[in-house]
Amino acid sequence: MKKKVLSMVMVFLLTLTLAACGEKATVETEGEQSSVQQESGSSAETETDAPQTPKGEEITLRFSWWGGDARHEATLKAIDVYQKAHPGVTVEAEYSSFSGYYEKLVTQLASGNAPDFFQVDQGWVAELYARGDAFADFGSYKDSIDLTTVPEQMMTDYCIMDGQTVVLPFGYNGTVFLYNKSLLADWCDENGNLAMETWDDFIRIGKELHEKNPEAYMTTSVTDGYLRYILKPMLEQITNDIDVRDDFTLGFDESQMTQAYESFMKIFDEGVSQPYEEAVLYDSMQNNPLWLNGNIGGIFLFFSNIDTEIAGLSYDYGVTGMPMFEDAEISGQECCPSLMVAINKNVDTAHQKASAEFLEWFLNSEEASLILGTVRGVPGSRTALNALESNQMLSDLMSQGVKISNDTISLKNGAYELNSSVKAVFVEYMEKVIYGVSSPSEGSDGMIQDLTKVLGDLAGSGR
Amino acid sequence: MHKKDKYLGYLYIAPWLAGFLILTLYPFVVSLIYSFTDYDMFHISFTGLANYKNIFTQDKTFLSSLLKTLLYTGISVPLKLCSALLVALMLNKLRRCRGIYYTVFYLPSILGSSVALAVLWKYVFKKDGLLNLLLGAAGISGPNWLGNPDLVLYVMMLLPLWQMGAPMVLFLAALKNVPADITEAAKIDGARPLQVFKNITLPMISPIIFFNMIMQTIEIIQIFTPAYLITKGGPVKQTYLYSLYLYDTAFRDMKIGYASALSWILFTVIISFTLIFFALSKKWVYYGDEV
Repeated sequence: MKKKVLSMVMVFLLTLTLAACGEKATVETEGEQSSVQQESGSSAETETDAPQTPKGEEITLRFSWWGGDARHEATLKAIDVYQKAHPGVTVEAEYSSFSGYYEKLVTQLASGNAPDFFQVDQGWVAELYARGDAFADFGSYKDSIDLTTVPEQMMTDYCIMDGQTVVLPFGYNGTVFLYNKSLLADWCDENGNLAMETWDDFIRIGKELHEKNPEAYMTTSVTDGYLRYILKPMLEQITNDIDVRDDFTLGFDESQMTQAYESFMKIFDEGVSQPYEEAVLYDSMQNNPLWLNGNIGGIFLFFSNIDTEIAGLSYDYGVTGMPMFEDAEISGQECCPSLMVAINKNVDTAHQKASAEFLEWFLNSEEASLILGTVRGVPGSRTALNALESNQMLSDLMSQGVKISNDTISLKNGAYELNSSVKAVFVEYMEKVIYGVSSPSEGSDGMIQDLTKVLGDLAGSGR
Repeated sequence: MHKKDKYLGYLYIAPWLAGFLILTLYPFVVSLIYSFTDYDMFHISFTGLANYKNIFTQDKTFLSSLLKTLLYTGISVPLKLCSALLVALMLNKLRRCRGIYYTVFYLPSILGSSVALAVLWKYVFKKDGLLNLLLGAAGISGPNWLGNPDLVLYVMMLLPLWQMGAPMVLFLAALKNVPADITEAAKIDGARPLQVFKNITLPMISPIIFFNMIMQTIEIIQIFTPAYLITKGGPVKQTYLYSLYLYDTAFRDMKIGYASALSWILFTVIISFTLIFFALSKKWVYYGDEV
């Protein structure tokens, strides 16, 4: 009997140890690979209960962001310049790729170990704010940072919550269509302007292009792009409303979603888009051979990404606005701050103030703007934008993109529209419809049910 | 035993014990407590069995991801064990360059389930990846391995096979311990190689088969990296394995309480399989001392 009990205990312990350790190392490895801490330093300095640093003494700030090499390099250079000009300030850079950034940030916030200031996505702001513990009020540091450089509408729509300025935009974005003039020459006028205003035009051109050259497609994207640049704009054009309202209700019904799916599916059924199952295997356009070989007519993208997507390519490009349905009143483009920055509410006021001073320089000064360029999109700060424009640092295509987007009527992004759980439901049903697992009406029915549940959870949890 | 020696023993195991208590037992117990709450990283309140009730009555993803994981494990584990045994049998026959072959076959296992490997596999199995390039050179048009919802889970099952070094080494050690006099006697009595393998070799190495089976089941049932990095659970959630669902629930949806309940259910599944394997082992595992 004793032997039996002992063997049962051993089985339990073996399973416990292996079950608990199974894949943990892998996740940690990824974190280690993607995250780099530039300088060592004790994080304890930034915790709430740390003593406030008297003025004039040394202070260490932690700053986290995600991005690619260009953003990392420019930001590190800017930090270096700032540190040289402010000998008492050390800024520790914690940077990584986008993958896993949100999960890490939330964990840091929950454990009280978040950086002093950090980059956030517009889609996360409402949720993190509702939890009540993430963001300090920039309004408390008006002496340190100029808040009037950001357009008032952008501040009201995206930055101010309950009278508090909880985030500031690094940059802003809008959706445009970047097209290859050479490939689409037959459909462009003598000035290279693409004759495409409606979705019918878009599909007709795409069909004709694919018939003429079976290797070529009118467009392609990644999963997120198909959702945000094509399906959701189609839906908003149908409803003239945002998809997910701030009161946790949906801005569309089943028949409208079905209509959007049917229109969306035409781009695959008519050979207008590269087949979805091929397109989504590439993380970005820069990995997609069809795009690199000039066999894609154009892509929907944020105007800030134009220079990145055509880097190293020698084709002649043009920019135009979103196609629209004949009777649509709004474009459905996302025109919103691209990346935002927040100061950690849970660090002491000395660190918050020092963070605000750094951000004043980082966001508004000409010196920082010229170092950073458009690595965080077209700057949201007027002074930074002026600095780039007067130094001809915005490419022609990007300037055209900004103008086209600004001239297009669009709605603001809903606070929960880009919430990760909400987006996961959109992606799930979009894929089900694309792969034929669900019909458009089944997809819209299932999606509405699941979205209603997710939004109910979000509303119920006080987020 | 001297009293001092007794405490010296505890001192020796102290590092392991500290790691076990802090990094395994503590999270284990805390996750059990969380599973009865709605903890979301910022707020917590006790909800009793609500998480478990929701999982079993309302959660469609739970069942689909669990079934996919069991299918994945049910095919991957036997495949991995068979290939490990096959390679071990071949290596056991080798007379020259053994060390080189042992190293070559064991090398992938040292790499672990790393991010780089997952990315590598993605480039092998992409529509225009290495595999289709090779097939193309042979005049065969390869399918879209990772983009086809009917195919992708089976492709993912092949990935763990590459890292069969650990079970292979154990099989090799077991094969070395099969007494040569018994197999030779059987051969003299007219037994064919397949009969020798089936009636002598397999029973003799059955404790190692059993051990490998348990270890690999526990490892593969929790597999996360390939699904997370190669397919992100897609297409159409065909590779949305249980660990990925658990991760998304905890860190994307921030439902730590719910995710803790999910992890406890997974633990229960693992321990149930382990106990079933132990119970069934009496029928087929041969220990030398039973004669």
